[in-house]
Amino acid sequence: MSGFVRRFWREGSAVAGLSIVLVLVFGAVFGPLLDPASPIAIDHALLGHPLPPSLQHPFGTDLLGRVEFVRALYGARVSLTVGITAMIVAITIGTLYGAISGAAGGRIDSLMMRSVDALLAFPSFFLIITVEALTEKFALVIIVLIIGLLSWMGVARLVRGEVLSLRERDFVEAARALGASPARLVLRHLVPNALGPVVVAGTLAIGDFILLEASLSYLGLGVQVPTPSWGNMLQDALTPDARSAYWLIVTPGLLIVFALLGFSLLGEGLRVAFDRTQTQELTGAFEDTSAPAGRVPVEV
Amino acid sequence: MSSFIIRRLAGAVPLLLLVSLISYAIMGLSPGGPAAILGQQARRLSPAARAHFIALLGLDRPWYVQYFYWLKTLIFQGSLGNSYVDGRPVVQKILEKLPVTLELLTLALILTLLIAIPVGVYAATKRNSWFDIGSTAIGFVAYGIPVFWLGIVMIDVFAVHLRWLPASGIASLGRENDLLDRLRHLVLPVVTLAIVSFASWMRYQRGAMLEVLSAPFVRTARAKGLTERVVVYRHALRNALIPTVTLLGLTLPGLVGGAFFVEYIFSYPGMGYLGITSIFARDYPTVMGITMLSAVLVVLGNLLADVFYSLVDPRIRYD
Repeated sequence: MSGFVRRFWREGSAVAGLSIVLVLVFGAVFGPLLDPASPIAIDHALLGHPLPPSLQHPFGTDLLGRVEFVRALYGARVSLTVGITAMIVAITIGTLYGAISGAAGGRIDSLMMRSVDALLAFPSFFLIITVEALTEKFALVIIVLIIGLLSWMGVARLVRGEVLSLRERDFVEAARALGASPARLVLRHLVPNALGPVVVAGTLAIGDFILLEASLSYLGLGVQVPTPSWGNMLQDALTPDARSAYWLIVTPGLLIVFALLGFSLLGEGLRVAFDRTQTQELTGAFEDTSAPAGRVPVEV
Repeated sequence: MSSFIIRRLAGAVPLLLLVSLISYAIMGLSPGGPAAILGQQARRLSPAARAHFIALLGLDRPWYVQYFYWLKTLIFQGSLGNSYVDGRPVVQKILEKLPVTLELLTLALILTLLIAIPVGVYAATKRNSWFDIGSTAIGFVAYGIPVFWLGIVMIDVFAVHLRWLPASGIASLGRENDLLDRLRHLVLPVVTLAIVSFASWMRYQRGAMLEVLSAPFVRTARAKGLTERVVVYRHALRNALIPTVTLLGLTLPGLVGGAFFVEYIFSYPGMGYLGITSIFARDYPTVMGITMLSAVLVVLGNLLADVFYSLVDPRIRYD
């Protein structure tokens, strides 16, 4: 463990990533407590006349006279909540599915993996917006579930690969010889030892899901107004009336970039720290087909 | 090799069936269902006329019955049905849009690779230099840029304020055959796509190059006394390009969903645009057609990548 911590701290970028993430989390959790202004209170005096950034309102105000800084803080809550909870859903399903598949082996394994292949053959972002557009349910829980339920396949493959290499190892053999049940084998011996890559994938996934939520919100299929999320703040900013107010476009966009930067750096740092041999340099976006759904355009 | 390809293609059949079944189930089971569209679009129809239309499209049957009907039409007539929106064959609609997207994505890919590969290679040879750190940092930032946001900013800056380039469409009205005009319309979407995809390719190329540079044959080449230039660009580079070229196969599905946002924002009438508008219009036959095409391309792309891999690397054999 100490080796892990040392390797992590030695990576300057990892520490930078962690700092960014901490700043965001701090802002999301405590920010709204510090500034009493409501994120949805409309200031009728300012209606239609967004104020540029000033000392009083560092991010300016929007078309309805709402304080953009406060909305950004509340938006951080929403975006981070979606990113983290969807990640937990995807990671939990993916880890269990992959571990069971790998541990079972044989026909069950190949059947389970063929199903994953089928799911990966979907254009995932297309599928997500199809489901969103058809169900027309935009509660936060539904959005999280849809993102999570449609994004676990990459993790399943990852964990299965780990488990396949682990299950031939002596300590697993020993556990089996001692009469451990299959459930115990999977949960106590296989999964914990495969967690390193899962943590990395999970960290990177948070960023990608934040981007995905923003993309959905931009299409009007994500978090609904008046609840602010970075995505629907952008959508607001793109209405013709708001086009002259550049700060409304810049703020949420930069926040998304900042958040993704944080989670990418943190994920990379964790990868380096977990990886004792330091050989793995192939990174992020192209790792297997778990290429994050929100980044569909990147597949060019 | 050919038996491998045949086996893979045969194996793809159940997979594609599964994909089509799941897609159909999602659409059939979703609340609102297909009948709801008719409710919206044809509110002025009399109830009798509505019932007639619904029966005509087979929407009064359970979704699995519709699915078998859809499958039958596909297998025996090679047809994906007609669009609910304009009644034209889905195949025709897709074939119209495919070249448009192909043009956009090919140009974007070429531009991306022209920048990403040299940068990635150079960064790897100068590991931990300022160039390496700088390009990596830019890559991380670029990776996080929401593509729709970048598109909007590009339009604002280059089309609205500077008025250098057109903001949307594929050509100006009445100048559809003017090549220069078409290219001008392509600049902003292509650059936007290149910026967001540059990072992944660059990181990938850098990783591949680093791996090759640490390989024993590179050490041997150095030990023979070859100049660094020959070692890097003659011996290492060739091998480091293999993974990247292989990856090209995996970009094939991008033809379908690849440029959703870019096409949407720049009103570029390609596959992505067709996809999004079809979803919003609940044009199920078109959505099904696009999904299936995408699944087929995933299968083909993976196969292509594997085949190509074995072609460039004789150690890999599929039997």
